[in-house]
Amino acid sequence: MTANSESFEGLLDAPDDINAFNTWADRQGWSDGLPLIPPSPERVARALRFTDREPDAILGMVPPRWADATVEKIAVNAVMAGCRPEFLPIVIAAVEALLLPSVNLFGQQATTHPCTSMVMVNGPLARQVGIHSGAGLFGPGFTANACIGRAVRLVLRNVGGALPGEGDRSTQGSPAKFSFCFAENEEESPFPPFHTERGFAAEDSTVTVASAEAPHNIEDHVSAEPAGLMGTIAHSIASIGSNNAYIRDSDFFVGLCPEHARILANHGWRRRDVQEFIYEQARIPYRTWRGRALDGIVPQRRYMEAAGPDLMVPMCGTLEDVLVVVVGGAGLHSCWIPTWANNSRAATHLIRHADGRPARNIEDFDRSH
Amino acid sequence: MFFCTEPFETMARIEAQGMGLPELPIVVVPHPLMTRTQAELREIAEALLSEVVDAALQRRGEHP
Repeated sequence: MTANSESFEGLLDAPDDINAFNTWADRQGWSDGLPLIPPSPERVARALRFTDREPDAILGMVPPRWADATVEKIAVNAVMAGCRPEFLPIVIAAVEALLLPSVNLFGQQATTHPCTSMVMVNGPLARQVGIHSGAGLFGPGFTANACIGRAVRLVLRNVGGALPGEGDRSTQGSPAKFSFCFAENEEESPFPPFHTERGFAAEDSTVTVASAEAPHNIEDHVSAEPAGLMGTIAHSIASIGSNNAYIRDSDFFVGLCPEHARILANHGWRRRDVQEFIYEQARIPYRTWRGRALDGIVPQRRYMEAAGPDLMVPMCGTLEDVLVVVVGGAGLHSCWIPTWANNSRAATHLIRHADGRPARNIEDFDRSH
Repeated sequence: MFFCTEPFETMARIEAQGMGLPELPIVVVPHPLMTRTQAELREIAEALLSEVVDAALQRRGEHP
């Protein structure tokens, strides 16, 4: 058994038996704690047939180790995570997006905060590879969600060096650091798909990545009108222990369940109305805000002190920082997804071919025929 | 020169290595800092002073 494909980084001798392989791989520090699929040359080659990038193509350097993320290394980690070959273009796009400077992956990897790499997929490719967007989408139970998210995390660990206590300094970690991948429920959303709000065509497929916490539940089984429902949502988001309460130049996600979204849309609310309401209403009194949490560590605006203790401090800088998506199935549980926020913003990135063309059909990547 | 508290030393060395700066002087400060009094912080700073000067001058001194 060998642990790499035939060409670039050389092959490693590894045990053939899967149990012995996993004991060995664990000693190498490769595992997130769950068993790995051995990345034999055959398995890695099978994955690489689902990309038109060259195996030695470098997507960028992954902090904090700043090692090159080659397509081949990503394929090795995707195989270990259990990915089917057709998941590889999504994993590659997610890693590319995470390496965009605006995401600040170094900070995300190294911080004591429990943020992880959230990966949301929009467009036809999400449906084609089976990324679940409905009931229970955050898991467990969905192969594409679980394996794509896990593959991204293994790249960050094995290429970037994000081992807990070493390159990943998170104080408590997070279950979301195993895997955090899902699709927007475009079919049941009354709003345009999220990626079309970010400048992409509906027939494009995109990944949206962020340095995000695990979702926080927002329940409202009673409100039948927007004012009550949105009050519940805004009140839940105004949360003093969140980085978003202190760092103005940041964004965060609101994940409306389809039934909550429908209540809003039935009353004529658009996505922008949701953003505006949350920006205006999800606020914390300055008297509560000052003197704790991140006050004094992040720059404090002079206007706050001048305005006095009754000033209501928003959770973000502008209403566009409230990123509204529709996710999940039946029931009346929405969520918000706070972010790490330190010079780190969500990025939406096109899933594309090597020549830059938008990927419209996952089968177009398949070179095995 | 780079400062960090004890638990962050490994990460600092991993990153220095990754950035091609394996010899980067790293001054390691006791952890934690946030809960110390001003007097304790001053004591820590004074104890580290000669190490900081050596690091700034790229000298290799003998420090505990």
